[in-house]
Amino acid sequence: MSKREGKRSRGGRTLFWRLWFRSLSGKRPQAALALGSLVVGAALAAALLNLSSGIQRKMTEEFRSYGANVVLAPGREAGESGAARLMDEAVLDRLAAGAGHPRGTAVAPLLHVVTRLSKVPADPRLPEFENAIAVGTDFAALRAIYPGWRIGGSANLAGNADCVAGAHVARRLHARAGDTIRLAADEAPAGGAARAPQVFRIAGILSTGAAEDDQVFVPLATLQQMAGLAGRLSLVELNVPGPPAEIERIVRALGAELPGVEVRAVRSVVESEGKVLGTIRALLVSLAALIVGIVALCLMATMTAIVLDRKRDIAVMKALGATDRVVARLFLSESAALGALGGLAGFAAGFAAARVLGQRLFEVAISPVWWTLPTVCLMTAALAVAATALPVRAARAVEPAAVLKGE
Amino acid sequence: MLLRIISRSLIRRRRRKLLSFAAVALGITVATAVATMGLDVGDRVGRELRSFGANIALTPAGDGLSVSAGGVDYRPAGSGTFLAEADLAKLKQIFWRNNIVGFAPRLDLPGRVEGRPAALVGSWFDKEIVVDKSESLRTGLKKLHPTWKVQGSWPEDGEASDCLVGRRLAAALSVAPGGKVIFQPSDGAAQPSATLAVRGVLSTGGEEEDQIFVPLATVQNLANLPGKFRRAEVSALTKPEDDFARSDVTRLSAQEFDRWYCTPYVSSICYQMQQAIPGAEARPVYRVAETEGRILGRVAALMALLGGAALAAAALAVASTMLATVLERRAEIGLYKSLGATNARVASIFLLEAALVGLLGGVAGYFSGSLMARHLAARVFGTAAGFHWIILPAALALALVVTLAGSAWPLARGLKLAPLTVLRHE
Repeated sequence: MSKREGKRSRGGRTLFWRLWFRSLSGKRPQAALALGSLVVGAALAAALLNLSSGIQRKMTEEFRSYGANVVLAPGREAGESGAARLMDEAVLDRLAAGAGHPRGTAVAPLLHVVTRLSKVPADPRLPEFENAIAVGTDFAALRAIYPGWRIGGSANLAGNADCVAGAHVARRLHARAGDTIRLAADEAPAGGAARAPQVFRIAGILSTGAAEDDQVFVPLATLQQMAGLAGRLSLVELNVPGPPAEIERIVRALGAELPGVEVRAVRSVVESEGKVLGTIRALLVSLAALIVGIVALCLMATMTAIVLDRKRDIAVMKALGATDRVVARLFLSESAALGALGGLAGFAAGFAAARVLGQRLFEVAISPVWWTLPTVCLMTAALAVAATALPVRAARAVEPAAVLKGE
Repeated sequence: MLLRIISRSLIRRRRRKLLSFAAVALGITVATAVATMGLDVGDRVGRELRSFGANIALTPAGDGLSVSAGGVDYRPAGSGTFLAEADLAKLKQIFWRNNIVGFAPRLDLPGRVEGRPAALVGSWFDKEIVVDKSESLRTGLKKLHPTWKVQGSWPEDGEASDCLVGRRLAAALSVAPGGKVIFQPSDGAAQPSATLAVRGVLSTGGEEEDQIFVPLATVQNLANLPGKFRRAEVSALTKPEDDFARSDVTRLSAQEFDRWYCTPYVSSICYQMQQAIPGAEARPVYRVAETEGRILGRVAALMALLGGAALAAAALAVASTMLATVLERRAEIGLYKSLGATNARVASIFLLEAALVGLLGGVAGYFSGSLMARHLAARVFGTAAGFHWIILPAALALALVVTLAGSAWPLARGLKLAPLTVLRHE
């Protein structure tokens, strides 16, 4: 502020603020309109920004229902034979102890063994036995990894002699939940005698549409003992929460932490997840940008109308000695205040809308993303100032004498 | 007179009208872009999710248990039942044939390569299937698994000795494209060994990396199973299952059954596939079908949300501009009235003008919105979105309604004022 202006009477400054408040509180429909469009724009932007992280979290969750996104398999040096490659159970302890995977990771160990399957009591319609894959696992953990699987009966393997049979297995054996089956390891493990067959009660029947329909799921320890493969695993499946980039990072960390084990991401899941999430983010951002553009245009129209409407005010102010700068400052600071106010109100409305919509459409609880509040307020204030700047330049051309005489 | 007033006003107040026009056009642009994207996005995301792999498995009904670990069926070749390769083309003759994106048969043959257990998988890579005289399509693994990456090139379906070796197996055997592998089937095969030329190395991030892929005919010859396959993977675009889809099909009334049959639920597509191919059983792969259903449901909700936001923004833009322009013209209203025009007459001048601007803006907005959707779709999905003519009438109607609604309130206010006050004030 120049010295001359500083010297100006205090009355001048109070007049400035009086005019400022008067015009803000004045009953101008245009000002209400400008405020309205600012509020709506801010509300839409705030709602989209607040929803976006919630939506992405929810989508990531939905992708999780596809199943395991990280798989641990025996490394190449662990043995040469492809299907029968096994690894040591100790990997589970190292996994639990390591910092490589975040909270909420579901871990399911799996052991595949070819077994001879028959029904108890023997059914004369059926062959003596049929070869089937038995899977030793922690079924509750597996179930957590694959929420899409459908289970008839109980998924709860209460005892060591309970099993879950695949739908195709059950159909072949004409078996229902509650029936019993016998499993015997098909081959004697190297250096050991063939173990005694074991009888299992079918607790539930599993439909997946994939290979699992032809398998029998039994408790891991029981199968290890039955097949003479104590402490051995074929595979560990993991369902790691988090966005794709995070999963890639975890895969690398796990690979470094677990030597001798092959750690790989299930690429089809991770990749398409990344693509879909990218699509959604792009949609949200581009729409938010469009909304900002629209609001800017509305404001421009309204502000032009306001300035033109107040031509006479400007003329009087100028006639009383106000410089162009003072007039511009009056208008610009007014619209900045209007913008900030609109941003504040819009944020409140937008957040409320985001909460309701998040709950209704996406079933996520939306917590306020605080950086969006200053962002939205600054954005609306900047928009309002920018929209006023152009018409205010027109105010310079106002000739007090011409305007006032024209009356 | 009316027309003269309007045309004069349009010409003389060019800048103002341009602003209203721009506001309408911009608002309709956003609404059109979102609507166009909304019409496409379900399909696009659906196709994106196809990289999960097949969502329907086709197997012989009454087949024995498969002994499969790591994605390969270890039963000896020849045991169990099979389906006929020639029947697969019938998949493109079912009611929802256009929703069948791709399919590929599979016939596995366990065996060894250099003493190391490995499985030979016979399938189609990119095969041309003749459906009938007028129609043919290309399908196979390439289409079914868009995320698979091949170093080298895909083998030709006609070249019986070409193969694709999984990345891990190739590393263990240290072979590269251009090399050779000798495969020895374990048992029940017609020949003791087959020499295969490696065309490419396949990396999938899954169990396929331990397998060798060859044309279906190669395995059929080796296993002595001409024209047969064990299992087919089918990828279909489906509608997410709702409560109706989960109801028991056998208990539906005739009318409900028709509705179920004519909706692309995964279960009804499976039903139609079983009808089309004798002796086959089609089952949804639940983890794929359900995940897809959930994601598509969320995307639909998202598009509804964005559409609502776009509509609100469009309405705001148009209404506020109209409001501003009409408020500004109070003096004109006063003048007309003092010259004896009735309220209805004045209103008709203003509304007609607004409608004209609105319609023009609507047309411009439709085209720029479609272009924007095309551009956005290219960036977001990598493919262009088409023009959806169905959106044009909707866009015009929206433009009209919003401009008229935006003009109505200030007009009513302006008409209420006594002409004298307005004119003296000016």
